[in-house]
Amino acid sequence: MALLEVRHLTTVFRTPFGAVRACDDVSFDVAPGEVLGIVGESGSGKTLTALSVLGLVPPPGRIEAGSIRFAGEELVGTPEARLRRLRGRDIGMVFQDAGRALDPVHTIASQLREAAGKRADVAALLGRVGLDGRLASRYPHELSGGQRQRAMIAIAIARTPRLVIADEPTTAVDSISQVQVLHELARIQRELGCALIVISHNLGLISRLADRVLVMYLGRVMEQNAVRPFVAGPRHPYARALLAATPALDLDRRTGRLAGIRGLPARMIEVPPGCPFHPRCPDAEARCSVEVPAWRAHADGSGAACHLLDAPAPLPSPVTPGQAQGERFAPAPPAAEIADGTLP
Amino acid sequence: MTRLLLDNVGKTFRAGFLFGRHKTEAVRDVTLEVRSGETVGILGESGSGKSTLVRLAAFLLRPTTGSVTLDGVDPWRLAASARRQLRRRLQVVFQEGSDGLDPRQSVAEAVGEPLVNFGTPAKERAALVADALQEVGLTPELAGRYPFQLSGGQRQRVGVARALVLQPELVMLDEPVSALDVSVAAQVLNLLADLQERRGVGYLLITHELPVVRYLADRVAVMFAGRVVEAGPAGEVLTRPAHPYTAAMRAAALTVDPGAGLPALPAVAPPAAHGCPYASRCPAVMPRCRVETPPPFEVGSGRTTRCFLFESAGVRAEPTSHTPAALAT
Repeated sequence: MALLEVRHLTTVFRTPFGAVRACDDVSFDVAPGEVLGIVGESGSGKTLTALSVLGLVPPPGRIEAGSIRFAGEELVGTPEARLRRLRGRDIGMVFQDAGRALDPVHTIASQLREAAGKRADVAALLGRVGLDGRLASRYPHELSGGQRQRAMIAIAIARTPRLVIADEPTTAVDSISQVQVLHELARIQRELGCALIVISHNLGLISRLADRVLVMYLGRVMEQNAVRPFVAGPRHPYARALLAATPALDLDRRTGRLAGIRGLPARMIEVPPGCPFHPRCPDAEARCSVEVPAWRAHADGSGAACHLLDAPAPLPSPVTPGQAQGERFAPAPPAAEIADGTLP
Repeated sequence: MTRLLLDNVGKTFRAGFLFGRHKTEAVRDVTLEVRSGETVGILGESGSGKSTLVRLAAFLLRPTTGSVTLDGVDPWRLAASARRQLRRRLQVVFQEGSDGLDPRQSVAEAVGEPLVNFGTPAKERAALVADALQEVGLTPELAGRYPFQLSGGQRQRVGVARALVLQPELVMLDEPVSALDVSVAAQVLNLLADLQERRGVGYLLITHELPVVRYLADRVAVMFAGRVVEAGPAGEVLTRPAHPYTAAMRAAALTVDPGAGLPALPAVAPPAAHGCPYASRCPAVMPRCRVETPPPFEVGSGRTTRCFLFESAGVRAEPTSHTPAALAT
C-alpha cells in the first residue's frame, strides 16, 4: 500500500481577479521508502502540492476537491491539531530558504528541542546531518548557508518521520555545498527508510536523486514515470522541451544551441483553455486548445496527459538521453516571434 | 579593439576596530584580459571573490594593488568626471531579482535612465530606447509597463537593454540566468550569444554554474578564495581540468543522468590561510602545499594552473607579465 495517496487534488485560490487553480486534478502515490521528484518551473504548482499535503495552504487558498491519504488516514478536512501533530512527528519539511525557515531569535538547540522534545540529545541530532554538536548554541545567522540547510534537515528528521518533503532544498547554496546537502538527504532517507518528496526546477538534480518523477505545468500533472525511462523517452512535449532546455555539461554555443521553450511561461491567473501547454507546444493541434487532455495511464503506473499520445504516428521518435540533453530539439524562436513579443 | 586589462589586481577590505581589526583579501593577484567580441567567464562559488572582481572590472571599486586599465587608461588616475565617461564604455547586468530595477520606473524609464545620466538629449532618447528594447526581443507595448507586470525573463531582458542602450564595448554579466527558469534561461543565454555576434560586444561573465560558462565563454578563469587557480580556453579547461578545484566543480555539476546517482561527496572546508588555499580540501595535497603558495604553471597553450602537481609538466609562467600568457589569445 502506498504511504501517501493523492487523488484528484484541486487547490484553488479565489481572488478578486478570478480563481487560481494552483493544483488542478493532481494524483500520485508515494510508496514507503520511495523518492519522488516533482519537477516544474515557477508557477507550476509544485510547491502548493507539497503545502496541500502538509495542510499549510495559505489563505485564501483552499483544497476544494480530492483526497490526500497518509498511511490510510484522510488528511483533507482533518482538524488542524491533528495535522500539526502529523507534521511534527510523521512528516518532516525542508524548505528552500533555511535562513527564513529557521527562527532567527532562537538557538539551533532550542529549535531542535522544540521539534524533538525537551530531553532530545541535540548533539546527536546534529551529528545525524554531519554537523558539529558545538554549533547547537549558535543562532541561525552565525551559520553558513550549507550549515543552516543541514540544521533545518536535522529539525525536519528529529522525530524520525515516515515522509520528508524537501522543497528546492539546495537552490540557495553553491554547487559543491549542494552536492553535500543532497548526500545528506539521500543518506538520511536510506538510514531512516523514510519516503522523500523532493521538489525542484532542476531536472539534473531530480534525475540523480529520485526513483520516480512527476512533471507539473500550470497546476496540472503532465507526465509521471520512473526516472530512467522518463529521461530515455519523455512522452509529453513539455517534458521533452524541459529536457532539451537543460544545459548539458559540455554544450558549446558554437557547436550546438540550447533549445529554449518558445513563448511566455504562462501564469496561473490566465491558464489557457484545453491543454495548458498548447500555446508553447511545438506539436499542438486544433483540439489541444479546446479539450483538456485526459490522463493516459500505462500498466506500469506511468502516464501522461497529451492528446498526441492517442495516435502514435505524428509523435516524434523517442529521444535518447544524449539527444535530450545536447542537441537542438525544438528550434529556437525565429525573429518573427521576437518581434511579436511572445518571448518571456 | 577594446581591451580591459586587470593586471595583478588585489583588493583588501579592512573591518573591525582596535583589537578586533582585521583584513580580508577578497581578490589576490588576478591578471586577466577581456576584449570586445569575446566572452571571458569567471567561475567560482560564493566567497571566491568573483563579485568583488566584477566591481573592480567595472571601475566601481578601486584596487588595493595592481591596476585595471581600459585601452591603457587607468580610471583611478583620472578625475571623477572623466572616470564616469570611461565607465560609459562598460556596463553591468546584475542578477535578476537583486533589486536591479526600480519598481516605480516603467520599462522605458528604466532603459532610458543611463541616457539621462549621460546627458543624451530627450528627443534622441526615445529612438535609442526603442532600438534597445527591440534588440533584446521586447515589444514596444511593454515600454509602458512596470517591473511587477513583467515575468522574470522579461525583467532580465530589460536589464540587458538598459546595459546596451549606451552602446558599451564591454558588458559585465553577474549571474545573468541563475534566478531564471530553465526554459527562460536558455532563451536569455541564446539572446546574449546573438547580441555578441551582432554587435561585437565583449562579455565578462560571472557565474557559479559550470555549464553556463562552458556554453558562452571563449576563455575561463576559475576562482577560489580570491585567486585565479586555473585559466585558459573554456573548452579545454572545463572538459579536462588540471586544477583539483576545477575538477571538483565539474564533478559536482548535476547533469541529467539517472544512472549516475549523486556525484561523489565533495570535500568542504574553509580555504587554508597559508600556502595553497585549496590545500584544506585537496585530495592530492602534498606537504609543501601547506607552506608555499603555488605560482601559475603553464599546462598547454594559453593555459595556466596554480598547482604544484603541474610543476614538472609545466613551465612556470611569469606572474607579473603584462601580456598574461593564460589569457592573451
